[in-house]
Amino acid sequence: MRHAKAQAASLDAVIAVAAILFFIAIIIVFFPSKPKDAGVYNNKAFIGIENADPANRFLSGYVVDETALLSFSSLPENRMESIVLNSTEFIGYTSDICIFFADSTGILQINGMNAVGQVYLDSSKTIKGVCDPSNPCKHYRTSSVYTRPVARLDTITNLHVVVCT
Amino acid sequence: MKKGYFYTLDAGIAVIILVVGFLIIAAMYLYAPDKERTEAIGNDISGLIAQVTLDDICADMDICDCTYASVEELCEEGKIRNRHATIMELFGQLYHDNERMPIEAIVNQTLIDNGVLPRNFKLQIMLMEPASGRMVQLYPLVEG
Repeated sequence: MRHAKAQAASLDAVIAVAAILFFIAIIIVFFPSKPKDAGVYNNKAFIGIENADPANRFLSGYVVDETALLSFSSLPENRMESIVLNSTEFIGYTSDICIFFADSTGILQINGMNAVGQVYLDSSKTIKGVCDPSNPCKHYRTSSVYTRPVARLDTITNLHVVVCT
Repeated sequence: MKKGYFYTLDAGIAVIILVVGFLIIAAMYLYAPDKERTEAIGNDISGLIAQVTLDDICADMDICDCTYASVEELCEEGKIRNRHATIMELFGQLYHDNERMPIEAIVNQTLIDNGVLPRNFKLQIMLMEPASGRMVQLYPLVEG
């Protein structure tokens, strides 16, 4: 009698586990996963960049001006940051920003120059050079990733602006 | 009486565990497409092809030197009438010339293969014929 009860309990446990696995399988198979690219696609985040003074206005619509990008990259950190964040809600309490171009082939640099085109400012507002696109905010929370497809260096790529707080 | 209470409690706990588990897993996997985000991507893609010219994506269109093989091939075959046109203008010309295949190749090479369009999104480009008002699908290519 006791043996039969134990057997029933084991069977019950097995059925419960099977039911849970069945549920998980159904969810995985029938529901698509969240997109890996969580970029915010809109014009708002790029208004500041598009409205910079002509020498530093490296983005006009969907086309990147390489000369202006070089000029922009050599700006003082706080100026660079204020241009980028001018149109975002983060100005005033932002720790880091990270700007880079990326497509499926990887991160694109400009003219082989170190870190130009990729701008990473840390909390002490010093240029760190290259930011790590896979972990742009280091230990900070990533607040927003703004993305815009642009034409640059004879290719179409995505311009990413990561704002960390 | 005691046994019945125990089994009922057991079943109740099991149901709670199943529901909580389901909710946790569903939260990880369920994704409701964001309408605003989809619209924003659509605006960006249409803005891109309307503003970006062949000069912006090719090294030198005068000698048909282009990053994208599909555009370079068309140029070499003399099928691009305005080598300084925007991508959208080129699509219009190709549609007019009944050259639908290259449109698909150009979209694939410039927007899809290089990951410019986010994964989990699909793209459809339609054109409205001015005369008839009929909607024609340019991408993806539909035979017939």
